[in-house]
Amino acid sequence: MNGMDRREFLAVSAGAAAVLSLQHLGCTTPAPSRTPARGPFAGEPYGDWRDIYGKKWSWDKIVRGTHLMADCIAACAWDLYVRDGVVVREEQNTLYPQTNPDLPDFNPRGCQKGACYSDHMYAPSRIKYPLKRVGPRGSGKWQRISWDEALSEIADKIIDTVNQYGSECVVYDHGTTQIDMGPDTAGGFRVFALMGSTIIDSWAGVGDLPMGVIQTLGLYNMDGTSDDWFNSDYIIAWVGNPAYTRIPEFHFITEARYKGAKVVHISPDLNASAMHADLWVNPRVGTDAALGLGIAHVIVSERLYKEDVIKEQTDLPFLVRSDTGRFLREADVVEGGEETGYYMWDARRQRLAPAPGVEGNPASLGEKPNALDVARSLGAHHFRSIRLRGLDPAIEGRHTVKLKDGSSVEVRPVLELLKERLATYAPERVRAITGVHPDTIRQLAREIAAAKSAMIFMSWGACKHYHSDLFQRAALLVLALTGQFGKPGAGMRVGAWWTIHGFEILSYDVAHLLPPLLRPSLELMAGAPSTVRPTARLMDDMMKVLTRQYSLHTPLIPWLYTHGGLDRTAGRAAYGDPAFPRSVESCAKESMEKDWMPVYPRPGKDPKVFIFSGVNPLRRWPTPSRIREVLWPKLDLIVSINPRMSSSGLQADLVLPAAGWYEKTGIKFTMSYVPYVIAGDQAVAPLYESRREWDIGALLAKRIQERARARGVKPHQDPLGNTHDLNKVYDRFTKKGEMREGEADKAMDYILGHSKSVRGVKWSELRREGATRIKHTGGYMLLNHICGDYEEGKAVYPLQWNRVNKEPYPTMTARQQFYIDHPWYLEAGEALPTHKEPPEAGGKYPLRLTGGHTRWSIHSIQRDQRHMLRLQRGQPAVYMNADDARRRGLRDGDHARLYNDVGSFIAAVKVSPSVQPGQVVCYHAWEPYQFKGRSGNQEVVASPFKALHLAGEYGHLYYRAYYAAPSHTPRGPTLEVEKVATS
Amino acid sequence: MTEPSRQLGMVIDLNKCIGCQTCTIACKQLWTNEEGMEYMWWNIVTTVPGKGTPRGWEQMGGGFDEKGQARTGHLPTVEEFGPAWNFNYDEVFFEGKGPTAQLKPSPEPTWGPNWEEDQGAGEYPNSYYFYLPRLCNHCTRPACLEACPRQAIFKKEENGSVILNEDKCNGYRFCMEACPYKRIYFNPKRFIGQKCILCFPRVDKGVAPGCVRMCPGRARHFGYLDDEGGQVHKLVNVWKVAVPLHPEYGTGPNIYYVPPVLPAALDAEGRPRTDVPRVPKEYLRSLFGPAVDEALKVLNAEWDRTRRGERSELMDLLISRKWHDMLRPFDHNPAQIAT
Repeated sequence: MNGMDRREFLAVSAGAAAVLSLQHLGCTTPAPSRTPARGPFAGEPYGDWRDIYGKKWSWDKIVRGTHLMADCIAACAWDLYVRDGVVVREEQNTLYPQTNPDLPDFNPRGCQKGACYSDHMYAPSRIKYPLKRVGPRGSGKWQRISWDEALSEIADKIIDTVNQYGSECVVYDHGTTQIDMGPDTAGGFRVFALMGSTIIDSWAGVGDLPMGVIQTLGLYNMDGTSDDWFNSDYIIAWVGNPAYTRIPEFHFITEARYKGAKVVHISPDLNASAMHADLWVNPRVGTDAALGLGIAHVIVSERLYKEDVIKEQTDLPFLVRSDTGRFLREADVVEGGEETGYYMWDARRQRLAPAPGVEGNPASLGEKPNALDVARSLGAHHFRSIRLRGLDPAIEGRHTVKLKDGSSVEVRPVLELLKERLATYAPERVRAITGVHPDTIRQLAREIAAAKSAMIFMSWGACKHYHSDLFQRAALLVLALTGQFGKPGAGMRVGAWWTIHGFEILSYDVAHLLPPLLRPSLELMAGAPSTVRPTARLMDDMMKVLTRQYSLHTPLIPWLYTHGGLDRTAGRAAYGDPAFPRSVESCAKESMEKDWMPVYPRPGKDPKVFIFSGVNPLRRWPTPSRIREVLWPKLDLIVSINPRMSSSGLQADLVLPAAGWYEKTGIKFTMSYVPYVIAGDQAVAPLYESRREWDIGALLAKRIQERARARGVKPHQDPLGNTHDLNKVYDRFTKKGEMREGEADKAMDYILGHSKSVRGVKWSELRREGATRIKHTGGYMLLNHICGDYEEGKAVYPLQWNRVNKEPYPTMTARQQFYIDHPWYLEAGEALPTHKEPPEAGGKYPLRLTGGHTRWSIHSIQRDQRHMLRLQRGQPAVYMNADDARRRGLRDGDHARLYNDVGSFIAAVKVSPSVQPGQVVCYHAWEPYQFKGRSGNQEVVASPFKALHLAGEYGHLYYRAYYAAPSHTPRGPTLEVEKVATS
Repeated sequence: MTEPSRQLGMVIDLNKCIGCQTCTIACKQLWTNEEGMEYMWWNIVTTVPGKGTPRGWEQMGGGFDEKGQARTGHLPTVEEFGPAWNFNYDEVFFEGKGPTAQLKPSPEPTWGPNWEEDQGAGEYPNSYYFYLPRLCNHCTRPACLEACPRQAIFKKEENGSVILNEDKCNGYRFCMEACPYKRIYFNPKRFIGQKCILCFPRVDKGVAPGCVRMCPGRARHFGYLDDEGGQVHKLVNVWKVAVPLHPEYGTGPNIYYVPPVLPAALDAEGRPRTDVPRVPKEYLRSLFGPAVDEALKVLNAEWDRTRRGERSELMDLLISRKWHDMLRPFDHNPAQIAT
């Protein structure tokens, strides 16, 4: 059965299709209501002054809505109250029953930002009609143009670029902001994927990629339903602030605390989450790995670890050669042996035993038919298990083994090496590094080991320091040693999504490029039953093939290093790791030459057309002024598609108005926190001349096809050798007319019909209810690494398949891997988790800048929202410790210049005793246009990245879309602060 | 004033409040999102210790003294509340003012309703703060009611909510001076006082107030104080773990707070202390009066039970596994009310 061509899931009913809503509303804000009150008081008005209020609480209709494409990590069901054609307010749709009587329910999910989108959608920042720049870039001089003119200009420029330079010189960026799981996100991806354009992968580029989790587990998008947090009796929030960033989930923590769970918060400052904890641990900025290793030291030295767990679930029994520091491999021992066979020491028989179920290296990206091998190996993969089957591996001791050449070599299990490493992290030494008292470190170790279910919330915020990977590896080590994972209420919680497979295959429509035999395997990705479930590694291999051979995903940081001038700061040796002898430059060169990191256009060729949808690169990327200086001049055309004017839109050539969240239909990010897919119906037609992104994608495809045909354009090849035809791009986009502009709801039904997680649900039902309960996790995929089953009446928890079912992890060793014997890691001293001081990225200055996502905005989307600003200080502000401020003559409310060798910005100062001395906190996502000279807080962010993260083709360390790549590192730059007169 | 037959009350759990201001926005979007009301936040969450809104309201007088005599009060200004800044959006986005045009609040901010967010008091690492949601206390003896020469403020007979009749109000603002909580605002466009209406259109239909029903932290319990099956009654009258703010103001406030228990304070060496709490007891007493001691004692004793793995009815109440139970009998879904 060909998964891509199946139509049976496409339920297309005329009634389900939304009325095409492209009529022009003109450019005025809709007039306020002047008609008599309707709603609950229509029949019985108070008859006096109270009717003012009765009328305010009245409505013509209620529409099920949500905040599509907000990139917030919650998915919340809302009711939208519409009066006289205007969305007047919103209130939560409280539809969630308890999972079971022992668990609190999810009601009412939402936050203050969602509660005033009805205000924000009519805000002055809305773009009303297509705008074309008429002054220099950034001047704010615009001319109103028609959609027709805008589409033609873009289409012709794309065709010119493809003809003259190659399709990869057209670059599309959806950031992380422009992602829900509905047709609008797919529409954007789809048109550019079909043309062979470069697609920016911003996951690591925004600093959200937990590399340490990937290094250790080979996967990272893991959490469960948030009611599973209530199953924990020991909750640690570490390098994060869930009271800001998980507003609808946080009650499960406060309620677990009331149930008797101990809540621990680890952060330098007493933040909004810390103050809800029982114990606050306050390490010095950037020393979290040392704290974790101190805890691990106590666990190991007091033998609090769970031997059976680490023998089976980790690489700690794997043997390492004392001479080379590398794993003992079959190729070392046996003539013709595999490079990817590893050994344990059989304690009973006192001899080598091959480690069962190892995963070895990934599919290599050579000749394309390798994709077939991946599909064929399905069966072999399925029976892999890490079960020891009677083998009792030694985790201590040293042994001598004979190599194939007759020589002997000493080998030791990883735990022995780890013990040596941990010996240097005795609590007293860790105190010198972190400032945390040894008694606290011991207490943490003992309590975690004794807990029934300990979890660590360590999410996207914990990925933004230079050495974040080491923080994560240390934290995972603590959990692995104590067996605190793969059971309800336990484990590392990062965040995950239910798989909406139909969205992925609609976005990256590559089926026509694949060898026919590979096509059925796409269907398997949609979530096979557990009896034939492919291993996580197999799925990762397939995703690697699909996203590396059939589409031009390019990781942002290497791309900026190549095209955006990031080499000027990230390449400075002083901002890097002094313990790693190789330069970033040499690693980048090697990585790109070996195609470990795909960068398109390849070095030496410039990007020419840059189209970004929803995102705001000049706010998000490090040192935006340098981006404008280096990248911007290379670009012939810059297009911003967004409902609102952003700092990046202000620097674009064309600005296209996208419809707001209540003006279109769709589904929201399918976060695993709730066992539902949340839907948004359309409350009002798109405002002004805005259009939904599905329609923009379709219309752009249509215009490109028309112009290509008129201009006699020939099919072209992308740099991977895939052939694309601009003459057919609209036909492909619409699946030969099945889903055109104005027919996003047909695309929605395609998505639902191809998603096992919600299979059987029709869009017409879903939009009416506002949510549908998921039926299946949807299987291991790009965004879903839960590795746990969804079962009615139970909360979902991660790593169930591995711990309970003994399925292999997608790491090289198929286990939680704490030893990485890649030559670069050995050279850098990071084969094992370790602590390293954060680099002085910015120069020698006494303070360090930290931050976190703000409670006030999802990225910059609500940064200009009037209610939100009025509940802050109306302008960018940073938090400083009271003593640090006093020493600089700064008082609360003063303005200060924050600077280092890279750049500077001016902000108001909030003086607080809750901030650690030496720390300056600037929360996320102020728009550069809110700062003097539009010099925003990213201007001081040098963002050096770890050269180690450029490594590839080692076990699980390789790049595929949204996977192992170097990160943006906005946390921890050094800086100084001085008082200035005004903002 | 005739005694109302029943009294509504609210319990706000400061251990569950995360300062997200969803309550604040719920209220703003329901009632005060119009001209003349921009600076009004009938419900607001501030970080305490702090001066709050209006700035220094606890020193502004009003209410009643120990003998029950009205205390004189200060009339808070817009600047003290914090004005609603306006922003030069069009100038920055569309008017071609050049590449450095900056979005700025006007007037220059000097105070706002949430000015002291996440700052607090004490010294690192023993700083402390928590969130204090504030709204009209719908007092049993409202000082505002007694101060109004036009009898524009009344206590609703059936539920005791304190309502300002906007038709009768003549904008004298004596109520604003008299209210010791400074929860009444002046509308310069309509020249009247305006305040929390305890969402009477909603409550009249069995729907909990917006600030309660929309609280994602599940920090608010709502109901009649005499409803023996209701959570408010149990928390206030039975367990006595919820205490009113500044009872010494003499107005008999009906918004109650479960006092906060913050992480342990650290000793000079950085070890957690068990002898003193992070939030000084004197500070909590200054907010909630001496009854807070007993409330904390009961709360901590019951908490210790669940920490030992035992079940506690009080902890179950505070958890409220079924969200609807927090609102009964005002748990009607507004989306299901016939229009």
